[in-house]
Amino acid sequence: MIIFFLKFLTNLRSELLTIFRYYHEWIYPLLFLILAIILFPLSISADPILLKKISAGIYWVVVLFLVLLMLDQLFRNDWKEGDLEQLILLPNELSIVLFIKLLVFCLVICMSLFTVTPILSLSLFIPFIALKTLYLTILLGTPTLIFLGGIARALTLGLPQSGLLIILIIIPFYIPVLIFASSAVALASLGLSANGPLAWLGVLMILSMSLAPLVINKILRLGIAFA
Amino acid sequence: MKSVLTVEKLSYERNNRVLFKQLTFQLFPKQILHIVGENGSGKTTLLQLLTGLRTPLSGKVMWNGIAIEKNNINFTDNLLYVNHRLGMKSALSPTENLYLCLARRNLIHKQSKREAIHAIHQILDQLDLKEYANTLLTQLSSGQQRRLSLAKLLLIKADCWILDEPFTSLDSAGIAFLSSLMEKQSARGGVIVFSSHQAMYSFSLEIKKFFLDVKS
Repeated sequence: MIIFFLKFLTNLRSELLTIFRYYHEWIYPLLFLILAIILFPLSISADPILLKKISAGIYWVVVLFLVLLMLDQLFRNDWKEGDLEQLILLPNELSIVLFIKLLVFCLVICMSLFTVTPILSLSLFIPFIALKTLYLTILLGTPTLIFLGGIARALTLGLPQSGLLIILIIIPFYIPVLIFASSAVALASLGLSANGPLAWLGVLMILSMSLAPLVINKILRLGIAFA
Repeated sequence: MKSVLTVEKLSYERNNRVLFKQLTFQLFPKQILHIVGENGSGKTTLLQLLTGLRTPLSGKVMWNGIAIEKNNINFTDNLLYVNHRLGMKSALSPTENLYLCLARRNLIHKQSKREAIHAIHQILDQLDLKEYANTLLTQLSSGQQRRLSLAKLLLIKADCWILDEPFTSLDSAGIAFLSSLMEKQSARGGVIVFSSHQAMYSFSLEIKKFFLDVKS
């Protein structure tokens, strides 16, 4: 048990170090999100009543774009450097390391969204009462997006131009998350209870977080990436 | 004596071109197999088949008499595979990388962290990389990265080495060092399979050779 814990920590530490040393890879998508959300009210109109109706949808569509932009980087360096190959050759390691890799990716996106959301919600006129729900949707929604995206990424790993293919594969699976998340925020900004959609987001998160690493493990072992 | 690594009737095709058909050989402890072939002759593919990264069209690879898919844990515990890729994270330093490698193979519990780091530093010293112990891998030259990939061979005891073109971009001192490592491994009773496009390397040991042709 202690060995497992130590292994988990060592892996977690090196993934965190990797992602923070390559910070430029996630800073640019984040800047894109900030710009897109700030430019929206400027180009439509700063009418609070109109924005209140559509802000939740806008916010979540842009978050989805951010995740799609970042998916291409997921596993790419590990694959190029051969780290993934070495992991495939260790029978009991791959699932847990994949889980850690995806988790660290989620942490980075969630944390950066958490820091910018209060300011961005002002520009979109997302009411203060809905802010808590917005945070909850980020916390419950982005892991689903990333863990599911990991499956598409693993399927397209060996291909030279995989960006478009990933988007085609993964968009249908993202629609439910988008609907539940934006409807939760919309309900909350009307002062209604958003527990229903949030519960569904939670279900999707638990399912994807627990099953996706196992699926990715199988996909990588099939050797599609080598063909 | 029983053969350790056995290949039985292995066939593989790539882009509708047969790379090899009904390939059969056995490797006994202390033996070294050198696969010689031009670029594109399928050396890397053959080595990937031997590690289990690729699955063959027909035939099987066996470790200690059991197919590697069934004997997965025993085989991979005893396998070190080095190829043209780094096999490490370029955002980490050599020390961090090798420590991670030990942790992933469950080799930390026998020794405390400080001892493990000490052992890593000694190995880096042997490879003349001591002053780069805490430099990120991206800042090392390709020759230095190459030498670093040999560190795993020193760090982890494994009975089967599969090395894909291990001599490329090594200087003459590096080549001599790797040859001596391979001789030691063979004396310990391990098997080595390695590939290159040159047929000649000066070894004091006898090695099996095996030529792959490019024919359509």
